[in-house]
Amino acid sequence: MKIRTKEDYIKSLKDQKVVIYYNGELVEDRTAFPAFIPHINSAAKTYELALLPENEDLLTATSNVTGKKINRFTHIHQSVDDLIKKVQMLRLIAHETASCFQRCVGFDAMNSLYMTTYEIDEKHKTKYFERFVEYLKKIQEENFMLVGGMTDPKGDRSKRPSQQADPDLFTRVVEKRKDGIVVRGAKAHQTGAVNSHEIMIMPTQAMGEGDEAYAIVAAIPLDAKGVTLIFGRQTNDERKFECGIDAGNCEFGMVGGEALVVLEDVFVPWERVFMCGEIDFTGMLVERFATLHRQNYGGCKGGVSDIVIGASALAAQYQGTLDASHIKDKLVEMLHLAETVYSGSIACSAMGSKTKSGAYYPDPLLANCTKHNITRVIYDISRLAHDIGGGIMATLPFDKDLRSPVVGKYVKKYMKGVEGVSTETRMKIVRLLENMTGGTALVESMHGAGSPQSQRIMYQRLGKLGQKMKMAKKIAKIDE
Amino acid sequence: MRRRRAGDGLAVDKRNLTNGAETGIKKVALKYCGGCNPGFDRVAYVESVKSAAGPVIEWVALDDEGFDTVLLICGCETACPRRSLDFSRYRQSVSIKNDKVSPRDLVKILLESEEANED
Ligand SMILES: Cc1cc2nc3c(=O)[nH]c(=O)nc-3n(C[C@H](O)[C@H](O)[C@H](O)COP(=O)(O)OP(=O)(O)OC[C@H]3O[C@@H](n4cnc5c(N)ncnc54)[C@H](O)[C@@H]3O)c2cc1C
Repeated sequence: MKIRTKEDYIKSLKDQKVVIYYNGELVEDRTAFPAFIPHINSAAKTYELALLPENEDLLTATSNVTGKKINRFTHIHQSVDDLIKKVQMLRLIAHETASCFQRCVGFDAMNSLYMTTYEIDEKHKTKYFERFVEYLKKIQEENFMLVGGMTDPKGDRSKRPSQQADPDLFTRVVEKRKDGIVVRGAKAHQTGAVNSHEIMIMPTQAMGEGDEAYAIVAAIPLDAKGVTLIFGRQTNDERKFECGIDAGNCEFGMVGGEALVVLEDVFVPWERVFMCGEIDFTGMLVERFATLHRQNYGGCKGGVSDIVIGASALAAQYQGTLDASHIKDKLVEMLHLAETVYSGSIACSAMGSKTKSGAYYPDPLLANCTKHNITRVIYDISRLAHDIGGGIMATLPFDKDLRSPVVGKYVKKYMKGVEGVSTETRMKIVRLLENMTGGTALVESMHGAGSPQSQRIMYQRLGKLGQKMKMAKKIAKIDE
Repeated sequence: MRRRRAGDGLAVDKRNLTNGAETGIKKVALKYCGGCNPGFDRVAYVESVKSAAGPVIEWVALDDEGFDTVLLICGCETACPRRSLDFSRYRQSVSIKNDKVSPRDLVKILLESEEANED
């Protein structure tokens, strides 16, 4: 592994010059830019923890392609145990960052491609799997961070890609050459893009006849000519620049630091192309990526919820309500919800199975169930946190007011809770709760890894409704 | 194989144990579980075990050689490494799933000879 430490990781980002815009301005050095540093700190944990003896069991694995010790985020799952370890790892890292650490999307892209390219080759006699394994070796050796680029802007959602008024609203191949292809389009909401090394673009949905140009999978270095990143605005983003209490969690990012990645006629050599026109495998790839990604959410969001629960209990303690029976009950409910989502992730992993390629894959129905719960449960947990935390979460004065020579004394006096706990301590925990339970942080739970309806479609497909009707008939002794 | 369950999340497995009497220093390989959701601070606990042991234990890693005993520190009852690692390869393994055993007692167990540990 070439990139081992946080310092190696930052240096590798500095060495790669990527075109990034933030609030209308070109960013000169992405590693020194204040809005990106918290996101870099989050992703860096995936490198740092791998070096600690007390965490290496989860953060590292043995590569099935080289036999070498690698970072788990570059590993292809070889067993049910690997699937479970992935979820455990996500919960562990979330405890360190209290936010998204971004690297799972590329990890899931690689696993879904390993399985799918194998099966494309089997049917179409192509050479994608061999190519992909070579690429994987490089990623494992370098320990690169990869963006999982699935979501297209999609324009008019009632129309197929080839029916859009602007054909670039879905990413497509505009030219095929002897030495490679030229790609145009964009990928929206790209987690970790500003602090990654490469993007793996994949089709956003199952493609039909006429949409062959959109059935494209390719790995693109983020410094390739024609790639431009535009960073997404987040709730209270500028508070992070102050590095004070108001940010809530100033060291680490808010969700994954998402960006719009624009691909303006980007050339990709053939050795980096892993699907090109095979529309019959787009549905399989999208479903596999989605399943692997939905598997995660009880791990990372379960871990993030652990922090919300801890912060809620502290907020209650600091204002003298921790012993109230309804508060205790609400904390118990939060614990129940967090462990429920974690159970889902563990369950779909435990029920995982081997694909033709040898890589392991979680149970798709249970993985979808896990993510569907996230679209509700995280809102429920946040609602309970708001209930316990009190109105102060919405009305607390500024950090600077606390430090003001004029009004500081009033803030200290009137924002104080119980004796023995400073106003500053209380403000810190309230701000942390505010940071983790509203705005951008919540939307991620709804739409990240797919909107709720995309999971309900999977219930219709995989829920065995017909079988359930048969079972009911048998019990009711119905013969017709 | 002789196995002793001493309660309080402690398990001891002993095989062909030697006691390092020649040097007076015992080599113990330290292995942690991954730590997804531990019930205690594993690193702080190990630090206190190390200071209770002082120089009589030389701490090494599982990849090293020449140790008799493995100390496995697990954050919860599941003890994941017991699922994925083959501990029958080691002469003695002691595993901890919580911090209820005092560091001094744990050091004693790690230093005990085969005879002293007969069930
Ligand atoms: C924080 C965050 C991080 C993300 N990270 C990544 C990432 O790293 N990589 C990546 O590829 N993607 C990422 N995503 C994208 C995510 O997968 C999408 O947000 C999700 O798939 C929904 O797509 P959309 O945002 O375009 O929503 P929309 O498509 O605008 O959906 C909005 C609503 O419209 C409905 N709808 C949409 N299309 C139709 C239709 N044809 N018919 C009927 N109803 C429809 C949906 O069900 C939903 O209710 C991320 C998203 C978020 C919020």
